Amino acid sequence: MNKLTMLGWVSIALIAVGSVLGLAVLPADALQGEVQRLLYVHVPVAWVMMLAFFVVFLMSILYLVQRQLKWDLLAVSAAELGVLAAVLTLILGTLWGRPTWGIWWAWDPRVTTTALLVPIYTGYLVVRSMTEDPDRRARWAAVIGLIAFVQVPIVYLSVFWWRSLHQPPSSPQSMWSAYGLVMLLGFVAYTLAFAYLWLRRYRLAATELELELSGPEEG
Amino acid sequence: MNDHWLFIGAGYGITWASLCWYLLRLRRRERMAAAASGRGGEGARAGGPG
Amino acid sequence: MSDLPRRAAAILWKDILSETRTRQGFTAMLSFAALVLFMFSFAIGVDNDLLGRLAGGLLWVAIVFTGTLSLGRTFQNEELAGGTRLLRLYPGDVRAIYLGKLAGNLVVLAALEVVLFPAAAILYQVDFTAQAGPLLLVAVLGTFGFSVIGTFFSALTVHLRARELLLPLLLFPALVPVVLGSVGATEAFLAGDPLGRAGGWLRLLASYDVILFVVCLWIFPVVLEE
Repeated sequence: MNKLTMLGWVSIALIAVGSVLGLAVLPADALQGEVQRLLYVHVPVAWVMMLAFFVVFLMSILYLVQRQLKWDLLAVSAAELGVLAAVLTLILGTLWGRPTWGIWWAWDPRVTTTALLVPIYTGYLVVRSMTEDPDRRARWAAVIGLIAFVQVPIVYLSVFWWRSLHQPPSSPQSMWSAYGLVMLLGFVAYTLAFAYLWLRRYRLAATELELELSGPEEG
Repeated sequence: MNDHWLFIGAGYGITWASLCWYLLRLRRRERMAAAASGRGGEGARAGGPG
Repeated sequence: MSDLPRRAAAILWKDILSETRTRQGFTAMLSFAALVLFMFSFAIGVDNDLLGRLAGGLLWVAIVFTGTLSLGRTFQNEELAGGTRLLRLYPGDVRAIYLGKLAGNLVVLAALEVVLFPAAAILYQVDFTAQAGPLLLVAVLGTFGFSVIGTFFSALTVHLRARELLLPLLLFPALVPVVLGSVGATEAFLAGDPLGRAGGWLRLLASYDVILFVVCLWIFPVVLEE
């Protein structure tokens, strides 16, 4: 078994262990009750989303500096996973918000910014898929990946101010040790899963680029 | 309370479902690419989980 | 480097000439903006208090929608005549192209706002004159931010098949700080700024404008590279 496959199985196993701990082993949270269990997934997935978009930014910079297509392929692989993680974060967030706040959508600054990340990086992926020439595609994608990362913190800040005019930010959550450990496990598990899917997606992208460059007649 | 378990179940279920969906989609594309490049089976052999 | 403003001005002048020769584009844009203002009233109803309170937001949404349509035309002349190859034939630093096109968009949007602000004042019964100075500052900062981002993304999307769709997709999320800042400051000033919030929004607008302008100007040559 090669290393990448091992990484895949390890991350799946850790996610499974985390799910069992979060669903069945841990007692319900004293303040928030059972619904707290969703946070063991929601928070790590949100972290993976941020990690993925940060990777897109780094790879975009590397591409613009070195102009090697592999950086572009690594960037697009992370962008795809980032969009997936962002959508998951939103779904988990609304599922948590409904029992907790009583409404699906509270215009929480973090949630709202995450929702804005989806069209930003969908735009990134669509622009990429609509450009035929690999070098142009990589260049424009890298530019969007870079600009997106500049604008996102300010988008968050502005949404935060906008919201803070109406409602104070939510209070900090209680940190219980077992809760913290399961959360930590979630962080590790989902980060490994991201690394696995990212590298595997990159290998696929590299194969596809090779096919594209060798021309449609071949094979 | 039961209501909450519905939300929790949906959350965990959707997470697992989307992981599996992404893996299957990856594997299908890998097989297509492997078949197209004529180096048959390499993508499938390195398939991994999913 | 000292050539940059002159080259930018040349591109601006060329676009103004070709635009004034056929004014249909601008006339259509104004009509569209007026229709957007009407649509808001139709959607919200003739509640003068409500419309007055929403006026700042409605006005900026109208500017953003109409402005986005006009942004799509930024590079249209060159694209029709031969794509970015033609743009690269302009002599000197390509940043001049960005600056010239940016100035062109500013002129168009300023002309739009000169009509749109009085129209909103009449239709929504708000009084912009009491705070004319501060509101002018908001309009300048908001319009500049919109043009900086819009010009950049229209250069990025001009070759794409679905550019009418992709330009707003990339543009609107990037405009969130501009829209929130402009609307926040406009509404604060219209209410007489009792809570002193307008200053914060203006600072947000100004810093976002500066940061995005620097980044866009710096990276623009990469967009047009071959």
